[in-house]
Amino acid sequence: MGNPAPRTCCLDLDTFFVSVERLLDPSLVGKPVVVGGRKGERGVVTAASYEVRALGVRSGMPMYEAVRRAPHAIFLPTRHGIYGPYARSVRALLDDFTPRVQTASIDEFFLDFGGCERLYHDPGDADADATIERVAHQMRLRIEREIGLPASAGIGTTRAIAKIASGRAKPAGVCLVRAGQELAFVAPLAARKYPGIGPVAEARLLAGGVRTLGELLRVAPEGSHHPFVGLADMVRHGIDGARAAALGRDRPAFQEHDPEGATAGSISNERTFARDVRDRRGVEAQLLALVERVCWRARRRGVRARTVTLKLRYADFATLLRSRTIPATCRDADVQRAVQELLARAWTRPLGLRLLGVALSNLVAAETQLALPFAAHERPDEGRAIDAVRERFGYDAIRRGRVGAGTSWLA
Amino acid sequence: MDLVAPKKHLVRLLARCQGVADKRSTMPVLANVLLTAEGNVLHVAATDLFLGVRGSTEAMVSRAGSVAVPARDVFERVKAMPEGPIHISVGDGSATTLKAGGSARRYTLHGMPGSDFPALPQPSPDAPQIEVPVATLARLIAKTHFSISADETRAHLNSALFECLAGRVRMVTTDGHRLSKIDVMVEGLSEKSAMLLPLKAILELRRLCEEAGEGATVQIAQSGPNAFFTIAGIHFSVKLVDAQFPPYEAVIPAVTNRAVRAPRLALSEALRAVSLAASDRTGGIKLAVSPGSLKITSESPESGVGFDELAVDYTGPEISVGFNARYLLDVLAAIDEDEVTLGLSGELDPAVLRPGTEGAAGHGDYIAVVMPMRI
Repeated sequence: MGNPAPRTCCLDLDTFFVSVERLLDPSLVGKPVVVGGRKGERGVVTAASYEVRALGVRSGMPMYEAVRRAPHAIFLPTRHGIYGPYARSVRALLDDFTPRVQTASIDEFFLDFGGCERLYHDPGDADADATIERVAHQMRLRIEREIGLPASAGIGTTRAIAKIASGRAKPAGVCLVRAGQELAFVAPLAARKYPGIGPVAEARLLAGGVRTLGELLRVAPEGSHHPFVGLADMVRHGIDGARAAALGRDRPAFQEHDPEGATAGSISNERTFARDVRDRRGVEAQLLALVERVCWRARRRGVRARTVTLKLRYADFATLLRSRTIPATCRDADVQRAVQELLARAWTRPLGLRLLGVALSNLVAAETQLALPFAAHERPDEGRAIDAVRERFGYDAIRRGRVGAGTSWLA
Repeated sequence: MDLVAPKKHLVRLLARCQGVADKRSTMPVLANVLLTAEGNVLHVAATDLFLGVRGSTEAMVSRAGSVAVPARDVFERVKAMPEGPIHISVGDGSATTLKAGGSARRYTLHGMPGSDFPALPQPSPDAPQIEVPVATLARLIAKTHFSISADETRAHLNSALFECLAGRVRMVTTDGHRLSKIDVMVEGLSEKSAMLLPLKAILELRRLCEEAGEGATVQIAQSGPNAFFTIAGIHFSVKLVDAQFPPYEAVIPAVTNRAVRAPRLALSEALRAVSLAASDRTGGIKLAVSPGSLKITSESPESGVGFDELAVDYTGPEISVGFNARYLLDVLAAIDEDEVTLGLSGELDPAVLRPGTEGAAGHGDYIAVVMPMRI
């Protein structure tokens, strides 16, 4: 049997938080909606409906900027915990279509359709590409009909192509990029459209006279010493379906339980406060909430972290990062202790804080042999019991005691 | 020093010194055994400053004195002698000559003056002492030695807890992943004490017990930082580990939700067979119990799949738990009964192994706790 052609599908839930809010309150349908915070509050946009996107409101944008651009919009706070169950239903539905599904974020999924062409073949399909495109349409329709959420799907030979294509497919569409068409597809796009090219890189490119991905690939050919060759090579490799196929000869395009993938990178959460926080107890409660979150994510991924990083931003925007390396752990108490010590060293100015973040990095695979729970604080039951509750009822179904206290000033 | 002693007794004493003499010490004298002749007795001793062993044999002493000779060298040479008496004499510069009686075979070894050898600790005369059958000490060690941690940097786990309680003695060992605990009744015992014996001492005591044979007894005394064991004429001293043994009672589950009764040998064989296909790195296998059946599976990307199924006595919901097969095999090998009871709760909760069935004699005396593996 030959190697299946690489065929990755990126499924993206359109304006996810807004869509869920609209499901819960149908009166919002068709109106301009911004999720992220109420008017006048600090914070960032987590989702914006197409009505306000037209005015330039984007997720990640500071709230005051969104208010300036769309003063008439309906502003809603982000309600953590209510969106998760919808994302999980989508995931369960996607699992019906292919055994290889990866959750990239709460509203984005990658599916590997490589080798599934014959399974879905219909005599009416012009070719294998058409088969997968038809299946993606079905998938999108089922999510809309059964869960009520609009979704878009991009299909391509690589993850990057699929991701860009899903952006092109929005709203509520499917976009297929055929093998061999990758370069033609990305060349006219603004460089910023490529996943991995952010505002900083974009500014550098614009300063160098490069606007589109096509221009980038032209000015910095492979092997040249052009200053943009690094970015250009990243794009070249990311869109090279043939190369991806060769490299992935005996591998699916990705694996859900890729042990190396699981320990790569870092796990971080941060929070910008509605008002600067000055009192230590409030800061500690915030940190505990962040620690709880990153540790839970680490346990879900089956990894432990050796490095804990605290991020702290003063009211005057001065930002500090402080790290510590500790014995590998995924226990709240260990990370909490490290973070407390980092905080004591980092928060030295008599100034309020506007942002706190906790990151776990230097990840290693979780130890498989469990240890006897000698010390009461070493008992695994608590973390596990909490995780079990969350597995069934969602993250916010259970929280650590001190986190709830004093959170009234939160965004 | 000049004496004649029987080879048979010399070999036995020198053999006991091999496990104690420290051949890699920065103090060269510790690689030696100390031979001391006085009256009509030859004493043989060795120490690594933590353990000390000392025994004696009758000898015809024509000149008293002492010498330290390399432990392994003297042992090998005495073993190579023909049966019968051996003549030991020390000449100039501690040169020690071994000569076989009635034969021309002869060795000369480079010794050190006996006065260079460190003194072995002695119990104070009023030190409290208990006496238990050697079989009791042997039983304590046999049921627990395998779960002592080999990690010398973790002194509290690199040792066995030996406790004297009213009417019984107890030994507990743990390496942090598993734990074994055994109680043996000793009539008339009222002494209450606890000591931490290092792994090396346990292995030596095990040998001493094996050698002493049935019916012998062992006297145990604690004095200062040391414990003293006297078994069949051999005095064995141990510098106790100064560390806190983990609170073992806290991790022994009072109850487990599900009890599986299985034939010990069949279970052992199946585990050994299936674990052949387990990952070398972790040795992980999966036990899945359902009413009447225990399925054992191992799966690893490198070595494929192994499977076996066993009829067991179990009524309850299905549950599947991962284990390091070696941990289970160690316990099964330490149990004599034909049946074992495996207590399981959740797939991440401690599992419990006991000999025999609930209510049977001896069922409550021995318990092994094994933590599962996340597989």
